[in-house]
Amino acid sequence: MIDSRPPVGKSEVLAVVTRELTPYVGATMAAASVRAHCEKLGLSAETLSPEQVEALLLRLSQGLAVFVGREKAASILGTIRQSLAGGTA
Amino acid sequence: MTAAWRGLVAFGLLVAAGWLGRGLAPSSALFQGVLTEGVLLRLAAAAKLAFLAVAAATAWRVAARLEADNPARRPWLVFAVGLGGFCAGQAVLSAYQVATGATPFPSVADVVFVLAYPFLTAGLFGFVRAYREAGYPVGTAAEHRRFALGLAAALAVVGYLIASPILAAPGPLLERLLTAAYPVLDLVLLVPALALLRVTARFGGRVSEIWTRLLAGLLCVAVADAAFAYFSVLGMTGLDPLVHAFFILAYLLLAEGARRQHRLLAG
Repeated sequence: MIDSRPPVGKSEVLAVVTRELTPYVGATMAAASVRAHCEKLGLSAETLSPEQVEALLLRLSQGLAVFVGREKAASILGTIRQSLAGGTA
Repeated sequence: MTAAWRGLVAFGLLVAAGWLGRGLAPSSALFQGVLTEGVLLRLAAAAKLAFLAVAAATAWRVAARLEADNPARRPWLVFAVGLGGFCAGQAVLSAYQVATGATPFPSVADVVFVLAYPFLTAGLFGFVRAYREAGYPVGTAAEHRRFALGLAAALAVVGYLIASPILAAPGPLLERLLTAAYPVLDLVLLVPALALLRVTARFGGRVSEIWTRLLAGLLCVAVADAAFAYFSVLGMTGLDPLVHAFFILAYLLLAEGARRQHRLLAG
């Protein structure tokens, strides 16, 4: 099935993820995590496809789970997905 | 923070303050007539045991709450066993102290305390690995290995400087060995603790709140053990109140750190 969602700007992803993860890991680590995962995933373009965003969120979720557990990590990532879909960053 | 926990924290801090007061003004009427050494020892025994029981039980609940294949589950489990060992040792010691108003040394409690150290050390190394492998940019395995080896070499020198005068002092061999063992085991524990501090210092938010407390607690244990060993060797029993206050603070911090991790998981 083709994902019909539009590409998202990397800076927007960074802003949303940093905002949502800051209460848990702090702003510096949240932003550093996004950059590190983008680098590992080879996401160098300024916009990210929905698949690339999902791959990034999966990595972030695995990191978050060591502190908050998988269920809560999934819930936090759900909020991030909603924010990205709604453009509320 | 629940009312029961707030009450326990207030009790622990009051007992610690009592010990500090006794250290500063031992001949005052309050410490000669009401808060005598025997009374404070019994109160401290209860506070230390309560904090360690909370720390061990909560760490266990954290491990139980994490998924079976979560990389942080095993370190929490091993750390909980170590805290459980401290709690069991303190239970034996507290029973002696409450019954007799004195602290036997060495005792069965020391065997249990010493056996807990490998678990605490392994648990802390496990956290460093788990947080690194979770994908956080906190350094590579090789960097962590180099840091740990360099630190171990530096702390080995410190350990020698602390242990050699204790071992050379007069007194029964077992007593000297145990007195030296505690600060040495604490220095071993400091290797993964400082490696973990290097990792968790890069975090903010609630993760930072948890690890600041847990690592500060372990540091207080190390300071209290080293102080106890030195004061014992130098015969400075007048400084015992400081040691008691540090142990209470250490166990309080360990319990509070574990509670915050549990709240983060369950909240």
